[in-house]
Amino acid sequence: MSIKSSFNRKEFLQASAALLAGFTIPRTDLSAFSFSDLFSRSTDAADDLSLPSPIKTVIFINMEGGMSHVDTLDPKKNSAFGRVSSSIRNLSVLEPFQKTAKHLHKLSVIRSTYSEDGDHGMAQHLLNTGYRQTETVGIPDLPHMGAMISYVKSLNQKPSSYFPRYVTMGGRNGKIGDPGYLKVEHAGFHVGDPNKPLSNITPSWGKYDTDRILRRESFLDTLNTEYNQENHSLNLDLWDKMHVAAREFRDSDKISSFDWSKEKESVIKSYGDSWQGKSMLMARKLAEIEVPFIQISIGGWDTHDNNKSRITKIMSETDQGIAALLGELESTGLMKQTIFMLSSEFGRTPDVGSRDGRDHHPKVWTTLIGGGKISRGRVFGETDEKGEKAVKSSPVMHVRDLIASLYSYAGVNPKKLINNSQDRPIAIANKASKVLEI
Amino acid sequence: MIAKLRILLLLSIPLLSAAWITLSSANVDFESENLDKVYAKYTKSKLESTHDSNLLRRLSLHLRGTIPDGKESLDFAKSNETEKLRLTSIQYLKSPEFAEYWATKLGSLFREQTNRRNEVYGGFYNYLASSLHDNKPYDQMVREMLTADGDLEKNPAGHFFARDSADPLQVAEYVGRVFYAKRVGCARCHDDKFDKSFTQRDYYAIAAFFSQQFYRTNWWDEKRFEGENIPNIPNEDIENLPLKQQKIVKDRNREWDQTFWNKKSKEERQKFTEKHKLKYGKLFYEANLGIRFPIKDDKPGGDLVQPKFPDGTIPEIKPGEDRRKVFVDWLVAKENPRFRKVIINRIWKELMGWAFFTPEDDWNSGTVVYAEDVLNHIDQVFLEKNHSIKELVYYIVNSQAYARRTPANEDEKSNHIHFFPSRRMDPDQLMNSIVKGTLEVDQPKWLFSERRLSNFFPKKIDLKGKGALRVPDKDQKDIKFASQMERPPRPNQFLAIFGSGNRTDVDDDHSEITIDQVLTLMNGRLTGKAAWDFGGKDSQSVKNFEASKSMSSVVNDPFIILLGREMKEKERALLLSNLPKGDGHFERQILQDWVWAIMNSQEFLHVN
Repeated sequence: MSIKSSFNRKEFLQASAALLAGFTIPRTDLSAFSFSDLFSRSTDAADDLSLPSPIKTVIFINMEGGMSHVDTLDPKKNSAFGRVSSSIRNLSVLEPFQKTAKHLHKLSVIRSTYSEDGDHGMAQHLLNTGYRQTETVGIPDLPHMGAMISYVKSLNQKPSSYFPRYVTMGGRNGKIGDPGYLKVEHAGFHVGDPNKPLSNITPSWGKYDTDRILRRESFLDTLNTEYNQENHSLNLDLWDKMHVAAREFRDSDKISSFDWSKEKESVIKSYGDSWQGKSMLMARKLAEIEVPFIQISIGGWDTHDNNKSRITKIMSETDQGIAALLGELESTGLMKQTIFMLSSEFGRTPDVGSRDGRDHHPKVWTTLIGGGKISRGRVFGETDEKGEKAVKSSPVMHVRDLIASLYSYAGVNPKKLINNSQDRPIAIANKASKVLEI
Repeated sequence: MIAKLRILLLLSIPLLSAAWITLSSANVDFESENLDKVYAKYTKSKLESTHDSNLLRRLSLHLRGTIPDGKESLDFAKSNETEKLRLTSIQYLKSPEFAEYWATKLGSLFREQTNRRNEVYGGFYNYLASSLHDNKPYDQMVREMLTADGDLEKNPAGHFFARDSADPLQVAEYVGRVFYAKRVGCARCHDDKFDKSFTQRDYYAIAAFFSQQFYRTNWWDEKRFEGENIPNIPNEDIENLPLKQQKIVKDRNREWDQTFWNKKSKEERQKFTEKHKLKYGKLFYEANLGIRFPIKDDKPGGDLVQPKFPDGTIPEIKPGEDRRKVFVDWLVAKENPRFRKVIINRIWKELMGWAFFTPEDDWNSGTVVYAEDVLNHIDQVFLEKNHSIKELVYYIVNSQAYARRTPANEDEKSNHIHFFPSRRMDPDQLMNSIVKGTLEVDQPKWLFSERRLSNFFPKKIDLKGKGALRVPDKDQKDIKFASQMERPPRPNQFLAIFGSGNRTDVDDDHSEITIDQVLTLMNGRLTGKAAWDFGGKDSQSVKNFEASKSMSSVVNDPFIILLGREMKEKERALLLSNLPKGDGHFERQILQDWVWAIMNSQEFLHVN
């Protein structure tokens, strides 16, 4: 391996890191590669990375697949659904969002979200990290923005026993849940089935009293202590940490926040029967205990065909939940400290003739965002007659700007740099991004 | 007389065996030493081996996806047989478990899914497992998959194409990533902005190799234009024929409608489609089919794209020639080491704990390749062994490099080349090991199978598999092996919790550790039942206690089976201190708690 004479920073860092660390290889698979500062991140000072902000929690509804903007939030002549008025004056949306429409005055509506990525994987990567995949070829360990927000907020807080700081529900493709070069404790905690959000907190087979549980754990501790005398691998350390975290989690009194069944019957009903509704109810409860980032990824939006029926189905399960969530965030006062954001990785082609299907369209789509100091009832940007792109005079918001702005409002300084696992300084938000006033 | 002969015979066998050993060891070429010579370039000092019982455990988990049998680890450690590692690796490579476990890995690579509409249930997995079991060369497997035609039941290699309904654009993307480590997906819609040398047209040029086929399900009238030399293809593909042919096909189709179809009643039509029903999807080849470049405002389009290899070179294709065959010939050619190195990289990473380059499906101009001399050497070996995966594995696992020990202190932790990095068991290894080590322990054969190492070391090693494969079966109620589980697993299943992926993307298993996994091992159903049922009335544990009258002896057994070693002093002391009535009194709950603890221990949960 040689360091080439024409100086190439990326190659230099990789080559020298390898020479220094004895082939510590850039990680894409945590279980096979080293991660030298995984457990003791050089403490970044909270002051450096945060911004003043009342926000404690971000709730992000990620519509996976490319939500057709002209059939949901941006009515046009060839929308497949009828218009409904919203609680924002002179702003209409469409039938699938009719319940949510009554709450839009709590949010801003960004009609001119756009990007260049029309591929699902790449566009979701951008939406979830603020970086285009092509911009991060040399940084495979880029964290999800949820992990980043969780991390920066943790710097302000006393270290405490483990409780998830980034919760994911629904899909978890791509970067979702990925803490990248941040500590494993900022990894997404995934709730697979909202009807049974937490499994295995207590033994699920057999009857055990506390004494027996403690006894067998003492056997386990002895086994591990003995083994660790002579065996030192990074993955063993990792397992050890996770085990401590699991016990702390199990013993935590905050796990009742996942138990939505303890809510009043009327509240449970208001969110609806679907998994989306239950997830939104859990999101409110987690916002109450100030979990920094909650993500609900709802798929099925890739409507190349059966556009109308599929959108109808998804929103018949989701609209009610979103409306209930926004209502409760407001009535409990949580809206002052919670950001709500709803978006997708791209929109869909508006002009398809009579075809009941639309294709990928990253040139423009709609995002909803609100909470904290974000404007209420504001409409940002305007699309042309067909909904194909923003009009010339319209302000536009690239997804990287959306994420940078989200960071800023959430109290994370997007311009700051953090060293990744190979000591490369990486900006929290893409250097090319702008923070926009929403 | 006969008795005397018998005795003589019995006496002579050891002598003969010894002779065989001497003879065979003189003739055996200790090839793996060559790997060690090259490997030594990258280590500052001599490698130290891990101890034998751990080496066997590592080998068993890597090759078979499960822990060793019963007391196998102890027997292996005790044995003085100089060829014991070679003999065991041959045995493992010939076992059904090898094919089952490695077919799961290939399945993840090819996005294999057990239960797909119009496909044979488990058909693709079966094909992969049987091919591995038979020691079919890898290049032959690839050739079979990339030139498959016909009914999926008769030609299960066709499931590779069926996965994407033989859509040339989809196929191009996956063939690129999986066999050539080239990600071309971006270029589907526009010129690649990152790699200026690869354009949208280049992408279509790869797809053009796979444009001469189509996939049908439900029903298809194969013989419609038999003998007429007219392409019989779906309507949506007609535009991909040369213009002249399009007209002929359209005219002939119209004629067929007018003279045949339109004259049929509804019932007759139904009968007709019934007659041509396809039980499974079927792949058809039509030499004249191509793929047209999309028409766009900013560049020329609409033409039938000429095929071009991923490396930019132009193929020589005669008109009407099967382009897939041309592609495969290029891909697996001796002069194209990239094809070999891509699969070598994956296999090497599985066995050695580090990869030559990452990501494994994207080898681009910025990729750094580590220990390149080793990679080049392994490439030579793979070629010599005619692309046999089993031979390659055999070569690697019999090296000192493979047998290196785990790190013993903080300084050694990061140097994976020198020290074997412990790695959490994957979901298959975990499931198989827990089931084998606990739920099966009541059957004598697991606990007490004596490993008899054959003294006969063959001069020519035949790695063709022996024994029936355990594969997914819709009607199977009693599942013991991960290989029998449907993929992708449902989200609440053990395999899913531990990372077995959706099979929607190449290699999409999740490898990150989660709290959920830890809780599942601590309190979940599999380990819960395994611990709760342990040591019951008819169990080996009870039988052991009846013979030994010692709890130490009884608890020692799960250590041997699950960890491959005996209890240590400190562990024994802790056991005794928790026995209120002493060593001579059977305490089932204590035994169960130790089994639980072992299943949750770092030592058990990692491949070390």
